[in-house]
Amino acid sequence: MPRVGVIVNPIAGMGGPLGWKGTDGHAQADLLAAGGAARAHERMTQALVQLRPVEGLIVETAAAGMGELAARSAGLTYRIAYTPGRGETTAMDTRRLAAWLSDSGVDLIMFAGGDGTARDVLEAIGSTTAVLGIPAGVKMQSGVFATGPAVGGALATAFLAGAAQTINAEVVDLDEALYAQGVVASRLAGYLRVPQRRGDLQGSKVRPESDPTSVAGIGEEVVRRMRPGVVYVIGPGTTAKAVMDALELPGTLLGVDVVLDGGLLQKDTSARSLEAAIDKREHAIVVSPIGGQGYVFGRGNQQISPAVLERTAKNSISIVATLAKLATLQGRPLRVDTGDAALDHRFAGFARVVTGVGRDVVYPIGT
Amino acid sequence: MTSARTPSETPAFHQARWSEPLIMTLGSPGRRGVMPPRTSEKVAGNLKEALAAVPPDLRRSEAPDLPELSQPEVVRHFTRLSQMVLGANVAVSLGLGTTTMKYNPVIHELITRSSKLADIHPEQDAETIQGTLEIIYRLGEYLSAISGMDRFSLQPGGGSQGILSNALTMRAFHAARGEDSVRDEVVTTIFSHPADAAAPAMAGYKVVSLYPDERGFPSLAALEASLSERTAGLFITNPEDTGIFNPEIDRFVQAVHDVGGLCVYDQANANGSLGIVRARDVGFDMCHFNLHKTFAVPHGCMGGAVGAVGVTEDLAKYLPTPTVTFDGDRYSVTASTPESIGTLRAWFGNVHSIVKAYAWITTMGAEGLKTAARMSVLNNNYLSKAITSIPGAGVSFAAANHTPRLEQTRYTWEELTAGTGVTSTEIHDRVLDFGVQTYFTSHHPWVVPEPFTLEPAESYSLEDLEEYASVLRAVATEASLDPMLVRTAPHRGAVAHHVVPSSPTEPAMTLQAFKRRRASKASP
Repeated sequence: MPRVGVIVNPIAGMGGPLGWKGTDGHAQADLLAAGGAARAHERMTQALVQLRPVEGLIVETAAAGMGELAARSAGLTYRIAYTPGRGETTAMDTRRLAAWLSDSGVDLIMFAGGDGTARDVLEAIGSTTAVLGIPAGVKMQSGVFATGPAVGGALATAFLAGAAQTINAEVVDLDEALYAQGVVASRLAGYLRVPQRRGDLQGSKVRPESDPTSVAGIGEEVVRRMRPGVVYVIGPGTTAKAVMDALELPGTLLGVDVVLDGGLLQKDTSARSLEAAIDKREHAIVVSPIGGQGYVFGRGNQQISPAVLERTAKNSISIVATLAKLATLQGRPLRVDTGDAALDHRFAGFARVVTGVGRDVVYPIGT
Repeated sequence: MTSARTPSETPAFHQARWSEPLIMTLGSPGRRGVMPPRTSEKVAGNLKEALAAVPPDLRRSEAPDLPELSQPEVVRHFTRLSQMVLGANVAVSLGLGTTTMKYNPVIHELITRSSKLADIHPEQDAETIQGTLEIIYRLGEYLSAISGMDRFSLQPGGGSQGILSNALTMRAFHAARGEDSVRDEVVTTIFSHPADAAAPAMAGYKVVSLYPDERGFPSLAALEASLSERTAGLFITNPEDTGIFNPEIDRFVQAVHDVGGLCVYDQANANGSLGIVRARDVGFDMCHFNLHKTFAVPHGCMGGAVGAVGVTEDLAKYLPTPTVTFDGDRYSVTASTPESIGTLRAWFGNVHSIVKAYAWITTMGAEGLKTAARMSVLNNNYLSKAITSIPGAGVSFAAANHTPRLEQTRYTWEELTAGTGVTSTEIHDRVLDFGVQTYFTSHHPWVVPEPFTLEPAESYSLEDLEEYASVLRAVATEASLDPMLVRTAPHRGAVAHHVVPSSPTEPAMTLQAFKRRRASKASP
């Protein structure tokens, strides 16, 4: 019998209408006092309604606002697997519930929340169980979310029927405390296993790292274009890591590596070490935009600092992405946000994006 | 009011569904469909001599493993299979955008089955097939007049091979100037046919694809960003899959010429521009037509197609061979020329397709071709009005581009999907339940979300258009009221669900391969 775990972050999205950047670190009482309205459970209800036709479905969830409410509103059979402590629920409750659901072997975990919730789920379960995000947060940069509740519910139904497979999708972790002060400090937190409909690559619009064969092709192509004596800075993410794989070097999935003449110069480097590595040497940078958002620099790869970028010629930057990943941008330009407007402006225009063996796409970069 | 059939008026459609085994498993040893008379002794004697000439290692040692069936069993088998196909003879197929499904006159079948064509052989002496050579030659002349190009070859067996021919011609041109090693990139667009990237890649080129801007086609600035001394040329479709005509096409051609590249117009589907825009007049150096699209030749199920390639006088020497030439009196065959890119397939190409296209052009006449183009654009815009009145359906790039689309339109179900969870792929499968051919979604990548692409060519009637629009309207309504009904479709088709293979090696294309696959799965 199909079993689906449901997690609702009851305060997700409440800060949005208030003009807050997010709700991490905020108490529910503050949000309610400020006039925030709970909407996450409604979003989850809209998604779960789509699961009504699934025969024998059992929802495993937590009491009250963490899922029970949504499962009941949607008219589904549910079991309370976890009861949070008295008072408000916290990120710890999300993590505990996610871990329990994963350990109990549910077929799929659906959560309603934002990037913070995705990060909590990731920390609790890694890539063990398939997960699908129902968007309910203030801002969502991670690629684990369906485009809307109904689409998410339909995708979950397809997955339970065996008509969808899973892909690895990015979870992006943004420091909300800094973000609220206008400083963007995000990193790639990791990857969750997310359902994607078979034969329908962009159908779900969860942001795909996509087809592994084309990612591997990108790695081969970048290596083919490498020149001796040039220092190559390889950014984070699975697409860029394919370059390390093609070089048969141990890469850092979430960090920045440096290679020279086919050998590893620095692994998981810092801004300072990187600046030293390129000092007085010809260098090039290989980066992949964050799926769905299109940031090439300034999000998730701050090790490649403005000081490095200032010394990098535009044509020494190889942007790598599959066609499927570019399609998730829906025509929006790639973006650069280094915190230095003049530097950002230097990258504006058109860039060549390596999309496979012998294949480039000319794509606009805005600022 | 027209007499269009609407889904509510149509008695519930259901396709035939036979439990029909593979023909290899039917019949019984010794059973025969036809019993031919015994060969005369004289013929048998001659045959023995001929067989003796076949080298021993090429001779078959045992009889071929063929199915043994009676004639009624064979007729029944194939009739049943044909009933499980929703082909153009039983269903309106205007949904298959980008493929230019139009009426293929039945009289063309009679002409091409005539013994004057069916019983000749390309190796016959040219003197004995003057009529066929004349048709091949004159069709080339017609296509030159239609495109403005100077010379045509009808040899390529399909659109992709036509593009490959043009890519090889491009290489030959640059090689003759000693620039082949420097000029290693071709430029195309995301919405041009994927073969405009794939065929040049097969010819050894790196491919740079341009993304559309908010108007639905690439800006001149994007093109200029892609051009350099490495540019060998441009391969572009116009209008692209979206039905949007790039109005800056002449400036595109100029920009590519300015860096020393050649320009190739992919006119596989020329239905919207036939008799209105000529490739050469825009400045293109090469083009190709799919006779099996625009020129009313049936799509051959991987069979008889022609990707006719046209080039300027300067490039004519590179065309594939053999070619048919005319000295003012007699037609003759030139087997090879020193600078030709070579032979892409045996003999002159698919001659039956050539004859059908020739018959269509001569029947239509110059004005008729122009009328076909205008009717196809009118049909498309009439249909577009009906489709956009369906809640949840929209035209791609409509926000920033209000110009009417030409002969086809890429639409989007994005709004419907957001509201119902039902995707374009699922609607695609449900359409079949109404007894019309389903639609084409889009080539990959899906730049337009939840896409579908319709192309009502000139030969569809007003009733056909309204029937198709009413089917889509009915399915969109179902998506809102009963999404599961749509998501589990088709319900009334011959095949319950299509299976998308997970890898190119998964499908078994022959019985032998199927048996091997099954054996390897059975054993641990």
